[in-house]
Amino acid sequence: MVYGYPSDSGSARFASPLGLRPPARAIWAIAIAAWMSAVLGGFFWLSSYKATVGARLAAPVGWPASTTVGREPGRPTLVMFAHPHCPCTRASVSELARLAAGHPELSTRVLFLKPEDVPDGWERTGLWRTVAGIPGAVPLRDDRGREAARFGAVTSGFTILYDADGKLLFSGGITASRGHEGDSFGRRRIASLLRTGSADRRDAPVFGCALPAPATPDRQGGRHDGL
Amino acid sequence: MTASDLDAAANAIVQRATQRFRAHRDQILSSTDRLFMWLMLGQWVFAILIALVYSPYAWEGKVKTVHAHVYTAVFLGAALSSLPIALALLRPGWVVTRHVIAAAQMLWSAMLIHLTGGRIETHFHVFGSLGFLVAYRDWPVLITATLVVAIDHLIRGWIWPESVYGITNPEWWRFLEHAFWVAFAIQFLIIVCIRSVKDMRMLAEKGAELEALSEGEWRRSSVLERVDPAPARPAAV
Amino acid sequence: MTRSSTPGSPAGYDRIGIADADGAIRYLSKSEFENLPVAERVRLLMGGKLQFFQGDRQLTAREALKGA
Repeated sequence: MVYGYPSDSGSARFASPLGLRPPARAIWAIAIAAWMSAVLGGFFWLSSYKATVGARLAAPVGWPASTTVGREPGRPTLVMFAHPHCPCTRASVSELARLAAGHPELSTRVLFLKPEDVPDGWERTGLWRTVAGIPGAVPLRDDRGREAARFGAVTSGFTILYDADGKLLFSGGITASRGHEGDSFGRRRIASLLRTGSADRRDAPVFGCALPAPATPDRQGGRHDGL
Repeated sequence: MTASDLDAAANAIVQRATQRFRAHRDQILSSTDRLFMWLMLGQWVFAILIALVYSPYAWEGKVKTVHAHVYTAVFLGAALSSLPIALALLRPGWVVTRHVIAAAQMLWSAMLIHLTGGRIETHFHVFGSLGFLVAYRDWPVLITATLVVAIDHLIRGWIWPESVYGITNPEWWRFLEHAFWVAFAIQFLIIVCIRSVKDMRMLAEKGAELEALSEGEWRRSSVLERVDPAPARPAAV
Repeated sequence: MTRSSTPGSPAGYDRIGIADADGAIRYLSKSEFENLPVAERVRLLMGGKLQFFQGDRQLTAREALKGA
C-alpha cells in the first residue's frame, strides 16, 4: 500500500465556497503564467530599486579646517551624514552600531540634516535617539546641510573615515543595498582599515535618500554617480 | 455464500474505505486551502502596515514622496496574494492550488524580509511557513516551497550575493550550506506528512475491518437461520 | 486457552491465528496482519476463521478490533 495521496481526483467534487463554476484549466494555466510574470517582475523591480546606488562626491582628503565638527586628535574619526527621516538610513545606523561595538577606539559623529524652514526638532527623530544610544557616537545637527556640503555628502548614509591625524581613509556607504542590514563591502573595508591600515579599496557604494546637493562646495573634488 | 459473492462484498467494503479516506483527505486539503487564503490576506495587510510604519516616505531634502516599499506592499502584495486566494475560493483541494500557495508563501517570506530591511528575525517566517505547509499532509508541497527558496537564493546569490548570504564574498559552495539547513528542516516534516497520511489510511481501513466483521457475522447468522429456522408460532386461541 | 467475554485490553490484540482450509493454524503478529492488503484482511474477517489473542488470552473479534 502506498501511503501517499492518490493522483489528483479531479475538481468535480470540490465545491467552491462561493458556489461559482470554476474556469477551465486552460484559463488557470494562463492565469498562473500571468501571475508568475507579475510577481517576478515586481521582485525584479524591488531588487533594482534597492540596488540603485546613490550619488557620491569626493570627500576632502584632509579634515576640513572650516568645519565646526569637532575631532579628537589621536583617535580615528568616523563621520556619517544622515537624513533624519530616511527609512533606509536605519540600516546604515544599525551597521554603524556594529562598527562602533567592534572598534571602541573610534570617535563617531552623525550629522543630521536640518533644512531651512522646518520646525524645531525636525531632525530629532528615532534615528537621532538611536545614534545617541551608540557608545562613542554623538548626533549633531547640520543646519542647512552646510557640513554635508563641506564633506561632499549628497546621499543619506554617506560615511567618511579619517585616521588619527585627520587623513582620509574611506568614504562611501556601509550597507549592501538600500535599507538592508547586513554585511557590506563598506563595513568590511572600514573594519580592515582600522585593524590593519589597509583595504582592497577605500570606497563603497552608498544607498539612501538624497541630501540637498551642495550649492557652493568649499572643497576640491569631482562627482561620482554610482560606483 | 459463493466465492464470487464474497469477493463482491469484500470489494465493496474496500471501496467504501477508499472513499472514506479520500473524503477525509479532501476535507483536509480544502480546509487548509481556506486557512492559507486568510493567511494570504493577513500577510498583505501586515505588509502594508509594515511599509506605512517602517518606511512610509522617501526623502530628498525636505521633500517627501511615497516610499517604494508602500507601492511594493500594496501592489506586489496584492499580486502575490491574488492567485492563491482565487484558487482557494474557486478550486479548493486542487493539487495546483496548494502548490501555488506553497510558492506564494515562500515569496511572502522574501517580500517581508525586503520590507523589514533584511532583519534576521524576519527570516523566521521561512521556517514557520514550512511548518504551516505540513497542514496539507502532502509532502510534495514542501518540495515546491524548498525549490522556490533555492531558486531565489541561486538567482540573487548570483546577482546580489550580500542580500542572500549576509556576506560580500560568499564561497562558491555557500548555497549548499543554506540548502543543507532547509533539507534538515523539511526531511522531518516530510516524514510527518507521510505518517499522517498513513494514519488516515489506517483509520479508513479499521472501518473496513469492522464492516467486514459485521458483514461476515450477518452472513453466517443468515445461513444458520436457513439451516435451522425458528420454530413456528403456536396458533392464536 | 479460554475464550474471554470481558472487554478487550486497551491495546487490543497482539497476535492473530488464521485457520487454513485443512484446519492448520498459522499465527501472525498484529503488524504482520495489518501489513496484509486491506482486501485480504477484509476477506479473512468476513470468513470468520480468525482467532485473536492478547498474550495468552483469546479475545472475540469485536473486542480485538475495537481495542486495536
